Amino acid sequence: MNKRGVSRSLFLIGEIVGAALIAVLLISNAMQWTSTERPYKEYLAKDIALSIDSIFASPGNIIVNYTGNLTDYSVNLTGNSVSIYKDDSEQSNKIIRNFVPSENIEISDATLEKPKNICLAKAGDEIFISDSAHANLNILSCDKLDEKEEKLKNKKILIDPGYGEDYIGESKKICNIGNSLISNIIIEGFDPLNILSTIKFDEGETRSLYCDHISKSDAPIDANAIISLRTGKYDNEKNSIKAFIISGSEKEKESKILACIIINSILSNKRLNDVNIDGVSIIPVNLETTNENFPKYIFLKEGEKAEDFEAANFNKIFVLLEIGNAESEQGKLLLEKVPELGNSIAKGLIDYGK
Amino acid sequence: MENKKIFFSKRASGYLLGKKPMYFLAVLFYLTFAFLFFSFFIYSNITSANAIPANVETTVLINRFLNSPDCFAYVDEETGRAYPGIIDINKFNDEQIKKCYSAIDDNYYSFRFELQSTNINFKDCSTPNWGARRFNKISQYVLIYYGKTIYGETIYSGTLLISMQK
Repeated sequence: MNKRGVSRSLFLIGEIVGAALIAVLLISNAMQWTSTERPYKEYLAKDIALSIDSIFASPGNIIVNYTGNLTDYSVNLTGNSVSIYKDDSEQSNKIIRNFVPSENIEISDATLEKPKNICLAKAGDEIFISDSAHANLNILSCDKLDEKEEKLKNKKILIDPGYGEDYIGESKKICNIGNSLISNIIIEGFDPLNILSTIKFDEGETRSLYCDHISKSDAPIDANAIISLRTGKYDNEKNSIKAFIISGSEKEKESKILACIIINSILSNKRLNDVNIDGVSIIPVNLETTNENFPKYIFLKEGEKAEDFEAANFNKIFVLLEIGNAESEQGKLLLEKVPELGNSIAKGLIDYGK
Repeated sequence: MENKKIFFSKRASGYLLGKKPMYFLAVLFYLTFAFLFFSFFIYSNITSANAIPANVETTVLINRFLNSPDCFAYVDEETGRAYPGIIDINKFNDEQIKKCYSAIDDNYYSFRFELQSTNINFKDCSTPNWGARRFNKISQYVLIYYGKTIYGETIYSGTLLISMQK
């Protein structure tokens, strides 16, 4: 073969290869654009983003069971967008659609891989996506604390599990919950000397309540924050958690925030998921209308008597937490969860001011 | 044979370097143009097939302003209950809107709200991404929570003018 023939053949081969490359490139791109997957992914991303926008519009807590079929795709939720993709190798082809975030509502980042079900939920101040409807719709939306308000870590905290025969819910279990609470907050760096109680501490143990024989403490009970623990006793099967705060107190707002954080902490504790809690509420109470079951004695300083009550100092952070209905089956089950309850209440105290 | 003569004739072999690249350039330009045109055409078709009607999207977003306790909706402090559709006059301001609708760029819908009532002064506020662009306007009857007075809680009726743009 002469030289000109060789170069002509090579040129033709080059032409064919070049044409084939361009054709493959064009066809693969066209296939990618026109694939039925792309419009579907596009649709899913837009639909989920719009669903989240509508969840923002909900005046309360809500769970949305999303009905789109996502069994072949993965969903990723971030602070302001939803992305849909087939698998990790397809990250470059994922479809991203934005929704409009809100400063007050946190979006939990999550990725669901080929989920059979999808639930979009708003509970309290959080929106999240999960593959099952386990969101607790009782979660409260808590107000924000003023920035100048200090944490409770360096404040005197009074734990009141109740004492005496007249008080509702006086029991060893409540006392043990108090002990669990105390040990949890000490682990988190609260000063043991700042932890006070209305009942006597066990002399042998460091800051451990003496639950075998509950008796009134003689120590001063002048604290910055008071947590009273009780159980409810109602003649029905409803098992609710209630937090009573003092209406009109200078610390009413702070008390409400602490109550809200503690209740949310209990509701968010997964180890309490097997207990049915019918509802939660924060109830401001007028001290003038309370009966003898309300622990007014907490506000009296040492030496003061019930007659001096008018002069007592109510301007403290105060939460009376009624943990379930002890007369109901679910309430009894809840009270068995001593360490879980202690841990949750402690988490509320720790998270206050964060 | 004519072509062969032009492009590959022994005498005119100089054309191999002259005309072929020109031919390829023209074809490449044409193919690129065709590819971009069809890609854009297909993409816009897909997009339009999946497009959410604008009024659905804006209705969902407007509901946020009217129903969410983080936006304008009145919340009973004692019970914590939010009242959808009742606008708390104390929340009707730019600061509140910025908290509940954190859209800063033009990719999102932007809104401007004007509150009119015979009982209160005219008030308006807008989202941070509102700009001097073309907009549509709708109106909606609302209730306005004015606050506690000596006569109790005061609620007026009014009209909310909603301007929206994208």
